[in-house]
Amino acid sequence: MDEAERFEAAAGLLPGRLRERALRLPAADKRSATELRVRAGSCVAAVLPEGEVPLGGDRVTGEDLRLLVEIATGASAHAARETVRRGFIPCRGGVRVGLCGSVILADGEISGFSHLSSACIRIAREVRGIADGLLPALYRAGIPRSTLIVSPPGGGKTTLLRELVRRISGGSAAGPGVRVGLCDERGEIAALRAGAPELDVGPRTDVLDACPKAEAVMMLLRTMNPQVIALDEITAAEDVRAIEYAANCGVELMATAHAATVSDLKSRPLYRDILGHFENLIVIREARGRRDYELTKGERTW
Amino acid sequence: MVIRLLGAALVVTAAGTMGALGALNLRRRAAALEGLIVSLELMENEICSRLTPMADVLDMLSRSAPEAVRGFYRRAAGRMSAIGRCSFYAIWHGAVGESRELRLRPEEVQCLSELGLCLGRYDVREQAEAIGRVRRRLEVFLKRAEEESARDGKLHAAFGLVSGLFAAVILL
Repeated sequence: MDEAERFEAAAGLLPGRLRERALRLPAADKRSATELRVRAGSCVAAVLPEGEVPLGGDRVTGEDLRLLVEIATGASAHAARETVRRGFIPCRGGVRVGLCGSVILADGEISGFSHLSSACIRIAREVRGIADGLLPALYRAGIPRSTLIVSPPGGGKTTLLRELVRRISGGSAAGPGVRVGLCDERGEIAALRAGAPELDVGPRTDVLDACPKAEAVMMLLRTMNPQVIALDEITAAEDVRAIEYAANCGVELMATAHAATVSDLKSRPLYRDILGHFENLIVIREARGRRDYELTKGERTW
Repeated sequence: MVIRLLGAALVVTAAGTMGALGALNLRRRAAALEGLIVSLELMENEICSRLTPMADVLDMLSRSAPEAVRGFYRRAAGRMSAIGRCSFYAIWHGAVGESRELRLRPEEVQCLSELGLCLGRYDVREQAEAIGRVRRRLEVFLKRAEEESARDGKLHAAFGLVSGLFAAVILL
């Protein structure tokens, strides 16, 4: 599946009349679009490198959003209920639909949405070669060392993580291929379909899909004997505890976190405890549609 | 005379067959209703216990539901790829309307069709309740269909044979 096909898979989640507008985008925009924004009362917008661009046409209604969920879940809301409770629906090709609206609370926990107000269709990007310049510096003694990727939301952390996993798993001039255990909680790194990844994550990668990260790390450690564990977006205290446990077991880690800079990261109590487990920190900076990767050494020393 | 006798025999056979077919239709209608009840129970189990997606539930039922209702599920399963171009309700409603082999009456068609408004749309509890409601209504329809089959089935067969004999006597 190439970039344009992935865009079409994302646009295919829109109800018919909205989909036609999205599919009319020029091929170059289809390839560079990272999101489709669907908000009740506005027309659909595409997120392109230059920013959010309205596609025009009919305004989105509440029924359109309901139909979007029906399409995204294959008319099976019950099958997607666990992820819907967490606000998203994983779809084919690594596409992820984020949901927003009025939530239903049952016994203090979110059980779903009574009304949807907007949806964000994120399009997975597979950009080969973006890790080439970074790889040699991530290895020591032929082994890829624990690396934390940092950027604000939408900065390209998942894309870089996927490429790092693919190269580390496959092996490169920097070092031989190693076994990678990949925790893909939202199904957007490997995009498993019937057990097979739709996005290339390398030949020695074992993917644990749709499982909360903290539990996934423990399961991989117990069952798959990974040399590296990769996980996207450390956001909770239990993720931090699982990372510490894995690091103490001698497993290298590839992870991502939301922050603008390293100092921003250090200022957050959640991350302070884990920085000592990472040997490399990669900060992604984006300016005028171009991403730069800045590699610094982390707090783990040898 | 031989030709006349042969013609009379054909008339009796044709009328008798028509009567038997009428009785068979009543039995098939009851079998279809029973098949729907059994298959909806399977559907409820798949949705509630295994959280199986609707496309897989319909596909499974098109192969393992009672024979009388497999065609209906096959039609619905075959159209699931159209989700996005039309709603699940439209797919389900269309399959119910086209499955004439089920021999459903208008109120039975409506009952089954309305289930499409809930399937796949709500959480498991709501879907289980909707399926349960439809099953209970179908059980009432089944009871009526079985009584009708027992009462009118023999009548259809006998009426067909007698009317055939009567026509043959007149023609002779």
